[in-house]
Amino acid sequence: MNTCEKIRTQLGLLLYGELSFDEEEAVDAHLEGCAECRTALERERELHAALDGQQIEPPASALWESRQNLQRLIVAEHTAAHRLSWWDQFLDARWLKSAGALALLSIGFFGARMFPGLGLGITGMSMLDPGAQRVRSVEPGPHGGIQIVLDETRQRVVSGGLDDQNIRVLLLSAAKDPSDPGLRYESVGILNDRAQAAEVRDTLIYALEHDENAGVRLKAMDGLRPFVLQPEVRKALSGVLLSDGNPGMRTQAIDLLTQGVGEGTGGQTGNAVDRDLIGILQGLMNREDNAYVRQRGERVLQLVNASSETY
Amino acid sequence: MKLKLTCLVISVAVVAAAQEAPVVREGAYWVGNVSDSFPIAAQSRLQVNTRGNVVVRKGAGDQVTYRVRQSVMAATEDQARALLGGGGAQVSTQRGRVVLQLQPVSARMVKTDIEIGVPAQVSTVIIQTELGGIEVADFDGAVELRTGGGQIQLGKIGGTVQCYSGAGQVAIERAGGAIHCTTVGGNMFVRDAGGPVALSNQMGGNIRVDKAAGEVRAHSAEGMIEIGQAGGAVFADTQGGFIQVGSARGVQAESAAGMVRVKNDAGPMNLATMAGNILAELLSGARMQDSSLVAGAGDITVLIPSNLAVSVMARNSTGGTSRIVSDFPEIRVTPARFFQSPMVGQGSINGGGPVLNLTTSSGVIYLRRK
Repeated sequence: MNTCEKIRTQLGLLLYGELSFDEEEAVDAHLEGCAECRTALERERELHAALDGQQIEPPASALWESRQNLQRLIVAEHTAAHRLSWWDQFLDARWLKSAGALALLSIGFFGARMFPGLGLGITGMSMLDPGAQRVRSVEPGPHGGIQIVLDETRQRVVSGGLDDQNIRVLLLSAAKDPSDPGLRYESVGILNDRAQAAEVRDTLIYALEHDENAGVRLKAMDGLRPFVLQPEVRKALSGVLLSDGNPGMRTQAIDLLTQGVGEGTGGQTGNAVDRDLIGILQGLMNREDNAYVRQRGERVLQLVNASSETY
Repeated sequence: MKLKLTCLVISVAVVAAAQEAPVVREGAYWVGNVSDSFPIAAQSRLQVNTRGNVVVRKGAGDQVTYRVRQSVMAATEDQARALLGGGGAQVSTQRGRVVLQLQPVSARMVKTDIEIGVPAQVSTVIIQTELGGIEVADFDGAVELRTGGGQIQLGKIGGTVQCYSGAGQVAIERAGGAIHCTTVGGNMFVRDAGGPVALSNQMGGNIRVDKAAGEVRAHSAEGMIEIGQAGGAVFADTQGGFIQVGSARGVQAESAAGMVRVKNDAGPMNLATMAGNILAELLSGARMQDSSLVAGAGDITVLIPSNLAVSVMARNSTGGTSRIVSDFPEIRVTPARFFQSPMVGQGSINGGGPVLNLTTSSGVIYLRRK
């Protein structure tokens, strides 16, 4: 850079009064002997005067944009100073991430299409593992069969009888589907006809104890009615009696647990009332506010000469 | 004075107390029976106030018969008599009703069953029992039943039915007139009603009405609602469970969580579910009116007969994956642009008619030709 070029880069700063004393002295000394630089100074002065005459409202984002520009420049300078190796650049490439995701998706898709039975986890979508699919609806079909609509990647209909293990597994799964009380109700309704099977009974007991919908619980209780003398069913009904918030549930539970007691025409006598039930009824007396349930409980307790209170 | 007169209690009979009745041994129990009868005029209203399980049977002639059966376990007859306690039966007339008071004064461990024979000439039977089930097998007139807790089971009732249970199932085989029943909790079933039906389940339970000649109103705090066939409109709501209507002349159904499945003969449909699918089937020749189907999260499927004239306005706000699937070329679907919703499908089928508004926030809208 020759002297004139260097002086002309400083003309703006001279007009703003930003030069040091020594720099200003040097510029003035040069201007005295250089007509071209004096002409340049005049042009610069006119330009400044013209700019000063304009009322410019800076945009609100000007400061933010300026800072962003500054940040970019700093980063660019820093990057230029520390060039990445070709391997680092390769790993850092964004296209590589996208391509990797696409490759994995393709492997999964074509793998499932070409080798559906390979057992690479893809078989999780098969009939034998209903956990990977969702039962959308169940309904009785013709000739005592059952139709189950499954949500998979696409819907399909599975048909068969209750004796079909696949159908039964799907129904047991649907009876616990947390998202749809209607589906659970329909499933429990169909399973009620097969409550003699232990696994079905377990599912009905689960519904009785845990289902959040009273309608489903009442349906499950209907299915368990013939098995009221079985210990696990009595235990579940006792739980209902003590903790179910619906008085209709508690009414039915105590009717079932005490049916035949004190009838005077055979059935259970007071002596036949099991000890567990006595304890449960005593516990019930401490908390029950429904008059019907209380009355039935008290009557059974008095029949066996048991106190209505616990100590 | 008039009020005093109408409130005047005219005792016409006081029967023997239970302790004077014979007590007999039946197995491990002592059983006491009290029974009697009294005449009643035609078209009377009979009211029974009691405590215990009540069974009403069809009687003959002009006599109301009743039998109170009490059973108790006791070591001796004297102990049994003491437990049975007694109590009385009193017949009176109040405000135009013949009132039978059967109030056994017995220990709580005593089981009390009351059987009442009511002649056909009685127009209305009113049963009020503090606690216990009520069963009416066959009666030509109207019934009004109330129990503090216990099942209500009705066979063939010729007139209207009003009932309330503090807790327990309500099952009605047939009623010639309107049905209006409430239970605090438990299932409710009506097989056949000759008039409108209103069922309310305050704390939860399933409701099923197979057939009703008039409109049906069903409310469940939590449970499924199934209406087979309604001669009028159906109004149904549940906080959790599906709603299913086989046929009706207008449907308003709301489920907080569950599917809504409806076949509509005529009238408007207003169906809404917060979470669940809606399946609506319009019947051929149906005289439908403007309708609205709204699914918060779920598919909407409408089956439309090919000859039915209807205008469709469908909005799918699902977002990027919005879908409106139509079998009808008349429905123009405007694809949702990126980040723009809802997707809209609209058009007139067979020249247009009542407006069918379909809206889902998360799901697919299907317009299927039947």
